[in-house]
Amino acid sequence: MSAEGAPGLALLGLRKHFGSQLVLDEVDLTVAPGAFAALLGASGSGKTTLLRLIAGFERPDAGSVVIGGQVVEAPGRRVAPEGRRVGYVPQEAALFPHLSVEANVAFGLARRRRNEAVRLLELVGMAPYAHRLPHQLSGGQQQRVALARALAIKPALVLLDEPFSSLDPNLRAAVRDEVGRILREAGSTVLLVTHDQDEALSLADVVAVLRRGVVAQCAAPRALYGAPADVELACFLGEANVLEGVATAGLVATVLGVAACSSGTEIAEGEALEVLVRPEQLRLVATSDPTAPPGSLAAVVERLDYHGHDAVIRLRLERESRTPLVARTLGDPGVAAGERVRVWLDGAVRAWPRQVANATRRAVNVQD
Amino acid sequence: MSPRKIPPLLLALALAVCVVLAGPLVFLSIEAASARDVGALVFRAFTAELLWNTARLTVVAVAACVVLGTGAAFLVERTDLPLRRFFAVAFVVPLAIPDFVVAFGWSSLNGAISGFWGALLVMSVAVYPLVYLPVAASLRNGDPTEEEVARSLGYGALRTFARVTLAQARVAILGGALLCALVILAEYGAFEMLGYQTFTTEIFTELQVAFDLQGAAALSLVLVALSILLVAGELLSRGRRTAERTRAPRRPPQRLALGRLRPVAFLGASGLVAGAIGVPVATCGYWMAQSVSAPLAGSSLASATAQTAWYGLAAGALAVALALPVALLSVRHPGVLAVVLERSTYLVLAVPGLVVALALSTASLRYGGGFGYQSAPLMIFAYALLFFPLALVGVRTSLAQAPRRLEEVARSLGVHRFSVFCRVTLPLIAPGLAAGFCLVFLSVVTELTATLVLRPTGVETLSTQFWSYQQNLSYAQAAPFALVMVGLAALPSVALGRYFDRLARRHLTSGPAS
Repeated sequence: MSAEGAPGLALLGLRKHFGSQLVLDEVDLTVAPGAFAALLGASGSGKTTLLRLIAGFERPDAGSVVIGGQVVEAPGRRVAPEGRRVGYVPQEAALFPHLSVEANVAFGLARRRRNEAVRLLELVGMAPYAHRLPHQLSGGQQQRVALARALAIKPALVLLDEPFSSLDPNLRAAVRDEVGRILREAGSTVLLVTHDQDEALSLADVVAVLRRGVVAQCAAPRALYGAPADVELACFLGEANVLEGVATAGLVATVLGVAACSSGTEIAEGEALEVLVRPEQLRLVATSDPTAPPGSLAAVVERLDYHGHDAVIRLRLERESRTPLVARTLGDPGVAAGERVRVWLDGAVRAWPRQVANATRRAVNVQD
Repeated sequence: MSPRKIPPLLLALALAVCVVLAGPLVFLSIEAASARDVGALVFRAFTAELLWNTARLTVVAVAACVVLGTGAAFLVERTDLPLRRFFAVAFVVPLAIPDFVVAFGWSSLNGAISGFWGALLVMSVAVYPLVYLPVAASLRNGDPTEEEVARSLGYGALRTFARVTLAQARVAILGGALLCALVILAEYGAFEMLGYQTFTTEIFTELQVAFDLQGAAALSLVLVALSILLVAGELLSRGRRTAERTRAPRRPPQRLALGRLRPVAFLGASGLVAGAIGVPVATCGYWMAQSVSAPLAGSSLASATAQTAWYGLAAGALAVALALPVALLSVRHPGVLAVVLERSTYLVLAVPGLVVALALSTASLRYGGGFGYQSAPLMIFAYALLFFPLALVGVRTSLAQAPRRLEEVARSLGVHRFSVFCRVTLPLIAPGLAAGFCLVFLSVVTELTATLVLRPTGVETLSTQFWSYQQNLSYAQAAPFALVMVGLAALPSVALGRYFDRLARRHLTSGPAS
């Protein structure tokens, strides 16, 4: 479908402002053909605007967009939305309310190809509903029809605009997996826009984090979560403990002891660091439990939020009580609020030199 | 959302419509300015008397309409009033009965019904549906959660109604009151029949009896100024209601059990229907029965009906066509320009039919060398101008409900802009277009004042024929014209009522599962 060797999607220096507000500032992004990419950003980060620029609903102030090897937006060149072969699945499905499910899917098909709609409806498992009207479908069903409608035009790129956020939570995971499977089978290049970290990390091959109008980092989910570019990103991607540390002999020393550490930049001996410890890296047992390893520290549980499949425990070290810590255990941690526990750090941590960290640091210990 | 580039063709069309709409006012101003002693004509004791007559009737009748319309809407939408579905229709039907037919009904019932009190009675029962309709819609679509919250916060049923329900309906009530006031300011036939003098009747006399075009134009400007004041006042008092509705699924509101008041409410509602529909229809029926002896002008009835229907259809289509670009601009490309253009078209609301007719005939006589004067196209054009705001409301509402996102999706599916308009936008707004069309049709069928001034020589519509028979006191011959007129006008009203009913029910029951 795409030109040989050309990326599925390439954005170069995209810039857009509304009035005096700069929404996108020099956005660069490349997605390999056939890849499933996610664009992750908080609300107001400009992700919806970026998507509308790609689809051609808005014009950028500067920069270019290349879809499947075809330049669709560049200075002096612009392809109208209908010429871009972008399959767009909006947030609320946005099915045409006056058309049946089948007619919705056939909307973008040439007259002689209208019968392909049935095949697409089978692909998304909606064939039995071909003659229903959109308002007779549930939210999840509407999303699947919207997907079939987008795939009907054999898109060079599929854009998903928070397609799961309006579904109720029980349904969301199932529809998400289903949509992911269908899109992978179709082999299209996909860009999913979302504010949900779980969704981005679990669905996509590659995740780009959009922050204040620029792509802060673009990497595979594991690399992104394990090695975020800065502290702010680390906190955005999931709950985090950010501790002060000092580099010593290739390791890092924190209130939790000495641990192996990785960093994207060169770290000098004795340099002050900011250290990321994920809640799941903190292990804890009741003080009476003999399995606590040597080097574990005494702490008090301040609060415990039990979620069934896991539990979030907020605690303070007895030795150094000004740093609150948050730990996550799978299942029942077997401790209660107010109880004394022993806590230790498991695995390597991520660290950044403090001055860099301070410059970009916005929030520490923020939830999601 | 974001300011997007406005398609030049759309902008040009919308601008052209606005210029056309502004035309009559401009002509009128030029005409009045060229009158020799405008000052002397306008500022005299008689003007003050007219002003007093017009103002006091407008104020009192509007107040009565607000009470009747809001009360009726509350009874139908929020209580367990018996025969609610019947009343829901019966309260709207008076829209199809011209005010002068209501006046005819009442005054031939009892000759004492005349003057201020007669005018007050007739206008109240004839015009209250203009309040009833928007208020009922607002009560129907209002969020019952707000009321439930008020109740849970310790408000009684009555206080909740006053503080929450009425507040929700405030914009609707104000809008309805404005329409009532404008109609009363512009009314000619009913007041002439009841012997009550207002600005409009005086302008008509000035024109038809004294043939004083410039004098009439000067007086018209006073009337226009009054109306513009009202429109501006309504816009200002509407205020900003920006609180976003939660997207909670709609539930039908709780109905208030009337208990022992139920028979009283039922009697009241029936009385209103009897006064607004019963009296005029019964009177016309009575006179029809009397006409068994008199020869019924069957052929003239048929030709007047055909003529009226043709004007209504043509004007409805034209008005909707004119409204489309303005609505598209204001809904799809919101911005300062769009707001100014759209609001300026509402000025037409403030210009009484008689004034529009006057301006157009002046223009055609003075600048067109009589071209088009008293011709069918000018007549239809006048109707379309006059009832443009009605068409605009219908088109605008439905466009606002057809999300732009759907058009974007359609374009991303590889379909060209124009094709998207035909395949997505038009089908979605078709009900709104139809509603706008029906409203214009109904208004044309029951229009009298402008028709009397502008109709082509020798052509009679239902209303003009009724009027001339009635003026000659040939009530028996006039009655059939009134009845056919009401029937013709009621056709789209009924369709409209059913449409809104269905729309409301669809919104209540379906709302995509989220």
